[in-house]
Amino acid sequence: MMITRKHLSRRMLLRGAGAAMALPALEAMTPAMPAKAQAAPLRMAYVYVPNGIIMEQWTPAEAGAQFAMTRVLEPMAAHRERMLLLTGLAHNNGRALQDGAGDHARASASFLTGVHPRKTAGADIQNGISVDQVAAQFVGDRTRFASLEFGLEHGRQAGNCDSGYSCAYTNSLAWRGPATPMPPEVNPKLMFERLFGTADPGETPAVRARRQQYRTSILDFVREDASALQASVGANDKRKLDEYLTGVREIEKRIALAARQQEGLPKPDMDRPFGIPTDFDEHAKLMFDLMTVAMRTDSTRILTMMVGREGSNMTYRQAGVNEAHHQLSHHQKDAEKIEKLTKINVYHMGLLAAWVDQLAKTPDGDGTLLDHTMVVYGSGLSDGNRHLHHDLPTLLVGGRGMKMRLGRHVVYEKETPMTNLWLSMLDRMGVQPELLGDSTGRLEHLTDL
Amino acid sequence: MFRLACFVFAAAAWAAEPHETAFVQTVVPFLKTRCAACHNGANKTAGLDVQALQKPEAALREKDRWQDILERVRTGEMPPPGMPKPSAEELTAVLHWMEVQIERQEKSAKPDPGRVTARRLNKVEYTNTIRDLLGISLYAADDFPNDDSGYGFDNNGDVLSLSPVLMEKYLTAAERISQTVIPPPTPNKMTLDRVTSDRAKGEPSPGGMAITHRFPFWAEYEIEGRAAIVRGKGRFFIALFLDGKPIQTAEVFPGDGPNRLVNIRMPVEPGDHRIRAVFVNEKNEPISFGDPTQLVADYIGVRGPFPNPSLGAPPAQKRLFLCSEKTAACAEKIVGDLLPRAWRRPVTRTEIQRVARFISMAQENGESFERGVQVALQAVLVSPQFLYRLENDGKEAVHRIGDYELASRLSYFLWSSMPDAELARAAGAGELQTEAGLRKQVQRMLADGRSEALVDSFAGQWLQLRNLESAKPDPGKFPQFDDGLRDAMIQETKRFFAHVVREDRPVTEFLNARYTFVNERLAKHYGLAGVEGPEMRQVPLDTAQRGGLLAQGSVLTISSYPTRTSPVLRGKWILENLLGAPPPPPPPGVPELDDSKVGAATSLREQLEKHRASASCSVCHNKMDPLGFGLENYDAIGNWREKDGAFPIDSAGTLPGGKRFSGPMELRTLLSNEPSVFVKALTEKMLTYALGRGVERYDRNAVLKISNQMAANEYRMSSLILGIVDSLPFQNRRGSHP
Repeated sequence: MMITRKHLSRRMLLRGAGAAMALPALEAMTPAMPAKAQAAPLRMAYVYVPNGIIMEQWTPAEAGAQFAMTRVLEPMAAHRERMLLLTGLAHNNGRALQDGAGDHARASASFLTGVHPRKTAGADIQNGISVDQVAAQFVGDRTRFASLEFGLEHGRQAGNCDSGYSCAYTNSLAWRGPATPMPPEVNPKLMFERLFGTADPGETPAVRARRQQYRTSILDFVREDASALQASVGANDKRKLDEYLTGVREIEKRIALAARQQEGLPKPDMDRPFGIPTDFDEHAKLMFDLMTVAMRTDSTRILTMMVGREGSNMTYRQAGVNEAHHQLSHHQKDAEKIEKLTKINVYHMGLLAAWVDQLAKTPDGDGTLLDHTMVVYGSGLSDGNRHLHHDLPTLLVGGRGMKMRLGRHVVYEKETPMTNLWLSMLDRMGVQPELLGDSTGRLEHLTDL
Repeated sequence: MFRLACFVFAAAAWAAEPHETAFVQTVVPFLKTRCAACHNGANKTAGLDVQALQKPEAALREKDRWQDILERVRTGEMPPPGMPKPSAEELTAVLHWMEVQIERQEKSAKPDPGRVTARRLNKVEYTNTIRDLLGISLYAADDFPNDDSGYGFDNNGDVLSLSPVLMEKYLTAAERISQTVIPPPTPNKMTLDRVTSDRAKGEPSPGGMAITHRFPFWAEYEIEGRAAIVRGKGRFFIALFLDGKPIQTAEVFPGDGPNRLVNIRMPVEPGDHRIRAVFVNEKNEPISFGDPTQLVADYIGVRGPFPNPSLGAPPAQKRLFLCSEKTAACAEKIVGDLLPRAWRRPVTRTEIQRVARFISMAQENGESFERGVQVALQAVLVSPQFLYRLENDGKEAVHRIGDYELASRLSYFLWSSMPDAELARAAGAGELQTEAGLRKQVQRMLADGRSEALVDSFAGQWLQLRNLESAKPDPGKFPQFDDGLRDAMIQETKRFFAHVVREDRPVTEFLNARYTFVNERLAKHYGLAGVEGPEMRQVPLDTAQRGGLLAQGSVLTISSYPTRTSPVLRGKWILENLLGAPPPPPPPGVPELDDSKVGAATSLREQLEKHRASASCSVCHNKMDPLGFGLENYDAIGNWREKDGAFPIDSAGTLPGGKRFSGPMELRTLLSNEPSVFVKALTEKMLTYALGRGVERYDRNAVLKISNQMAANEYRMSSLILGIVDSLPFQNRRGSHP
């Protein structure tokens, strides 16, 4: 399937962004390529790993273009010139700020929002809107899915998740609104079916059109129902019905979009997966494959991938580590534990590297998918042992679509808000918000020579 | 305004009272000398500033904070170690004053039943409701994202959010459901779906195999199972089960090799069905395995569909179609039967016609009447009135919820599903307004098989059993832990809980039962003799090593690390789940235990005691660790042990409050001798589950009342469930316009 939109028009930007937006930067509106070639859209993907990183094995000693690959970065060696490593970024709102314990929940909740999540185990969860969802609201209507959320670990089923924080904070990275987390899909089969449908491939266009017509009528019917109910319920129930109505509108938008796209569903070039493989390696590979397929078919341009939940006690036997990840992460400077954690960090980086290899090999427009993608790989904790929320491990990978100078290690002043990076990324997506979470401006030195 | 005036009047009336005099003379000095060093306006440690509490007018209006203070002072948690201890007389006087104060405030407070937020059906409730509404077996909710949980349960209205993804899945599920009830014509195209496995996941019978298969059409199918290995003495049969019912058996003989098939051709209703291939003896009992016997089923196949016009319409479709004329009147009749059940309340003619409109719409499109019913059914199932349990808000400050709302609260509490016809009838007849009417329904519902949901959903989450499914004990250290043992552990605790419910046993048996449920595998794990075969059964316990939840493999495994036990986790588990006193989380940057040294130079206990010497840790660990030590005789997968590595086990400890015990048996005895703490904790947990919201301060009286009733009824499970059903918060609701 080809991408038809060549660049963003200024008028559209203003219409989509609303009054709070500043004027779009010119570079976002500049056609990415000379008119003769089809320009590919820019995508953004966030890959999250939990429980911090052994930073001594992550951070290169040197800043600038001459940095040496460290042990944790090493799996990415082939893509060194596609990497931009950032040191010094922080998430102040991940810190306690008088809310006591719960650093894991806050690390995960604040990672893409930059907002201090409300400490609550039940009622009134509150976070902020996440960077991916800001972008999704803006570019989401151009693809079948505004965004897609992937994960490799099921949400926790029982008990409190972290120190009085609702499990919602650790189960989801993406937040559509302050009280609406977007839980990741962990089942490759279900993600495949979302992307490419379960319908009989032999279904005729007439039958499909009829089905869509009924769907539309049903959505009209239930929207009326929900709106009528809203008049007679209290504030909390109103919020529930608001979520419901938002869901209804999303589907209506998608149906309308599908009706405009005559060609129907894009064709995947992979087999339908069966379910969640018991082997983690295989599971991870399938999910990353699906991310590639989702991008290649332009089903979405906004992706998040939660490799593990914050506080995860997964065991990584395939990396030679039998202990539970979170338990290990409080290593108390024990050399043996640090070694095991490093192995987990290296293993995770290997998953990223395999995916980046794939992106680099997948043709897209005038180049490859990697050329037109901004990948962020990181964690909301740096030192998992002490629950530190500064000097966060932050690795950008991508290509010329990012409009950043790659192949460098940039060291920022301590406590530079991570959300400044998120703003700079949103700029490149064509969104020009003034603020996100605790941002203080755009991140500098991304394009330095 | 009126309340304020009342208060001013009341405060003035108290002015000359001994209660206020006592406040000024004993409580104020206590607050100043014992508390104000930390809990002052500047520090507000733990959010408490006692300066504000020293003014009589504020102090006498307050209840909740006195409650907090009372509990901490009474248990000796405050003043903390290191601060001078108050004298016994001083303590008695202050505690007494606080008790009187709380009681006064409670008497004057208006009863508050709270407000439950609209509850979206969770995955379990959705599946069960579809089953009971339409009479089909379909695991449509398996595709939904996992529900978040709040206050320990995944039926919490506030936390059950609805993301756009889920909305999309509801729409797809409704289509799938309507096609299962009214399936498309059976195609004349046969396929063979085969599943082979060397590992029978979720299948308690060793060597057996189980799959869940989706049957899309109403037709005949050929189901077959294969025995791959048959070795051993005796007569063996391979049996096929469909949804737990035996459908075919064939004898297998030693040396039969990999091609011995059992098969049957039969009509199967559309939907998801569970097929098992297992080995049985000539009495159709599961075979118990001695070492020389080896039986393995490795294949289940489903061939079909084979169209059979004589089958007529599928049973679920017949039930839905109360009439067959393709008229507007018939459409209204069908919808008129479906809609009140789906929306769990009586509906108006207008509402029926709105839904029936879908049927005429399809007909206008030139499609069949049946197709129209499909679309109408989809609309009903995607409506917020099906997906949410909404309660009318009324205008009054506090009001009884409606009869049908109460019926739904009951059915989702006990069955995780919709009210059945009898419950709906009782609601309509006003029978739920009387205690006797309620009691009758509760007893009927508990005796019904659907109450298994209470075991799965309540017990599964209260005891955190669901975490056992993902527990991964280190195979190097615990090679004997496998899926068979895991399943047996889960089954033991579930059967145990179900037994207490069904037989109406005292809930104190959770602590000290002299029986448990095991199969051969688990009995061997526990060292119990004379249990053969894979099926779980009740056995009396003559060993003191087992008995009650705290000696069950499930609880002991989920409260351990993969490599070792954790007295901290176990103590925390007991505090959270049995004593209702969850410890606060550790402060950031606390040193963790050095695992590598455990068992080498020092015992785990010594390590932990050193760890606990730090003042910031000791406040909580002094409560957790000594409890957890009491279970050190069980290893990380619940094996009994006398030694941990080279060190003899020392399982002595203390309860919060100071009572000492010498080991797990005495810990059990102590806990069950004074059941009030456990009973209160259990009541709070079950009330949380029943209401779908957290238990708040204003629920204290309700909890107290239920606990008292239980004490008067030998702590029978029925007195807990009936007490909850009868309680103010279960039957009432605070309106949105107080």
